[in-house]
Amino acid sequence: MTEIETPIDERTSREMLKEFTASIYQEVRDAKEAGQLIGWSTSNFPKEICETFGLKLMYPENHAAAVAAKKGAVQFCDKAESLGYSADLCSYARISMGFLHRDEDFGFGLDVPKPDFLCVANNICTTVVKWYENLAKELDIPFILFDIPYNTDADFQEHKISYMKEQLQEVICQFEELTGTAFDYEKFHEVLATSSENARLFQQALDIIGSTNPAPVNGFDGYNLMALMIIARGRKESTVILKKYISELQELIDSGESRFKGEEKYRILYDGITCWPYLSYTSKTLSGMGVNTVASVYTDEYTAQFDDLDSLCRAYASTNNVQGIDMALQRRNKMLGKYQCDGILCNTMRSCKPWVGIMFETERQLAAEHDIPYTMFDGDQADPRVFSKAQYETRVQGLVEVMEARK
Amino acid sequence: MERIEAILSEMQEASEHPVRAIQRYNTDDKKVIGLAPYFVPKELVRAAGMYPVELWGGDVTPSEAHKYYPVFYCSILLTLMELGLKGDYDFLSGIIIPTTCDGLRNLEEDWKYAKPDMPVISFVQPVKRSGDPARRYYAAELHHVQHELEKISGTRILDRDLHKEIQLANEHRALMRRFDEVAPAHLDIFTPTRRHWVYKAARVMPREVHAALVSELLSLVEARPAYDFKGIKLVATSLLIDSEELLSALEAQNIAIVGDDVAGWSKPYETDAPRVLDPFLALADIWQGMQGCSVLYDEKKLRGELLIQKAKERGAQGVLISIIKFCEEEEFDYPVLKDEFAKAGLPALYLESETQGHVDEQAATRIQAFAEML
Repeated sequence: MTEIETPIDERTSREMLKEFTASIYQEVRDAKEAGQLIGWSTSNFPKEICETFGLKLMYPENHAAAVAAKKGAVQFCDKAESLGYSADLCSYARISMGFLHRDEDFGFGLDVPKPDFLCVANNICTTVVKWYENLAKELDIPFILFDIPYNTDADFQEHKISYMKEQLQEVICQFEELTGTAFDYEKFHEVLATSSENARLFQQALDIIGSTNPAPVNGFDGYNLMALMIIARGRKESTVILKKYISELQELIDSGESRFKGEEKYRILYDGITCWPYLSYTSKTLSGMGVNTVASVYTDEYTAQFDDLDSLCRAYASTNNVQGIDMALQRRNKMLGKYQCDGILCNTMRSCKPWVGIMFETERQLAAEHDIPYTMFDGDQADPRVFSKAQYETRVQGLVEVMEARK
Repeated sequence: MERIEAILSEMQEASEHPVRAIQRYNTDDKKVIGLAPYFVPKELVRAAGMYPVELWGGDVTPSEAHKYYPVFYCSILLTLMELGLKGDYDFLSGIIIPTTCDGLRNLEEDWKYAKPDMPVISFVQPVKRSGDPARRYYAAELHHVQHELEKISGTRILDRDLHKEIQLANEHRALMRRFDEVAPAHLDIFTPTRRHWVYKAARVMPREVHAALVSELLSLVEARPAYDFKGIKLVATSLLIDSEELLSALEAQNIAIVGDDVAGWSKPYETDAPRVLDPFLALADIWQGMQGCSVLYDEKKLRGELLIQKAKERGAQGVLISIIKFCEEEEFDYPVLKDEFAKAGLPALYLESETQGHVDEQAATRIQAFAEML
């Protein structure tokens, strides 16, 4: 394990994270009030460019997840559906469109101003292209697209990476035009270094959780840190929080303690986005049965590191939903082996079609190769109406029984 | 009139029995390549000396396909997979699956495992459709398709042959645009169903056969006086309208289609390839030039405006919006279209179906109510 300098801060990483996350939303509001341009961005857009320009961004997926976790999903989904959006569409998108048309403030520090520009990278899905097209049309604002070609092979194809590189220059020019300021290439490299360091630290934290048996914490911790990687990946404040978290993990390991409630009997890989409205319930149900999610495909999405333009493009082409089955297997194989998983739990998210559409075949391949069981439950990332506690418990119980039988 | 009926009958036959049509027209016993939606250039397959056939799924209840997809996936995807698993496409020497939408990305990947003996050629079109990087990337990706096709055909695709095919395709596209303009003056002949046959036949007929039939059809029709249609004229918007039940239900209410932006009908014929040295860039220019379709990125969202303009030009009283359930591209466009049509005072008939082959009774009732409202 790499030696980590323990930061001098009396607060826990959890407290630091909460305060910093809230401050990010406040920064966006402050920037808007000060007359600065603010943007809405997909979660895996190369935000390092915006950070270099000093532009403040809000991330609607992260925002929708936060709204869903605060039990606001249904009212905003209903609102979007009343505008003509099908209930079959991505729940993040429905919440976001409904929130945009909200009749009154929602609270919880989540009331964000309307954007002046949009940043879209389609490495998470093609849905975001349609979603943001509608935002651009409705708000009549610039749409900055970083088009990341789908990877159908086990390796990146050079012409796809070249296309991405060429576009990055275009994207920079679009921002220069938008802001009226020249791009600071030196600062960009500093931001890249911070961003990459944060990704390395995030990976290190996930590795500590996954590689320690039993794990020092509940694997759901990763979701909190992941939010940091989405909204503040290029910020030095994130570095401090990640280092603090890692030092806490080390302390737990050194003292032989664990924050996981109960005995960790089974270690699983979780495939899919977590159910934000049922985050606590799903976590407690698992821990109640001695199951720890020591590996997560969702959190692993935000660990890619880079140190130049080429590796930057490869990193942004490494997100789960821009990769076909070959790469999906590589990603999951890496975690299953390294983290000693006993099984896989999959969320067949009703409104995340690109992920679920290759999930069935991917799981069949993994189960065959690793000789471990998997189970699926019907859920969603944010719409609580498609999740059944009874089904979830039954499916997890079934998985536990098979894992127990194979011990 | 007899010859007109004979031509339409041949097109109907090709529409309803595609495998029989391929056997009939593939006289040289060329290798057949399947093209999944959307907008794969047939020119490239033909330049490889092979026979391109469009695949849009079909009228089958998904069963085996659910080994790959839950129920909440679009019918095109589900029925394509179902027919593939049933062996209906086993006569193909390969299949090109573009990754135009999330569902097709999934299909392209799953097909490799579902049909391991069939070569799958991925075609990852750029989402961005302007600028040189996107244009060059499209051409580079098409070269990937070229090399995979060459492995199947065993012959090289020469620029000379591709230029020739592009020229033929441009001529066919011009002919189909003429058909689109002429047909609304002859709605006694071109009922929604018959209009559909003309487009659907092109999915399986060789281009020269289809072009010859359309050319003859147009010359016969244009010799006739314009028909004074007394019913309701609509423009249609969709990715795919393939249900003869739906088309018959429109006819039962004396509704005609006088224009469309449907990917399975007139959309592929709207844009020509320019004459440039590199034929791959010429095909990229088609991709960049197309407008007004939900699977084609457009930050200005011109689809509604283009349809309103077409409705005005063609004297349409309303618009038919036909959506296949679970198609996110269409479902995202709908709220925008709905508002734009309302602002333009253009009544919209909205139909959603779970499968592309059928309509339910509710749809028939909606059509009737819409006709009565107008």
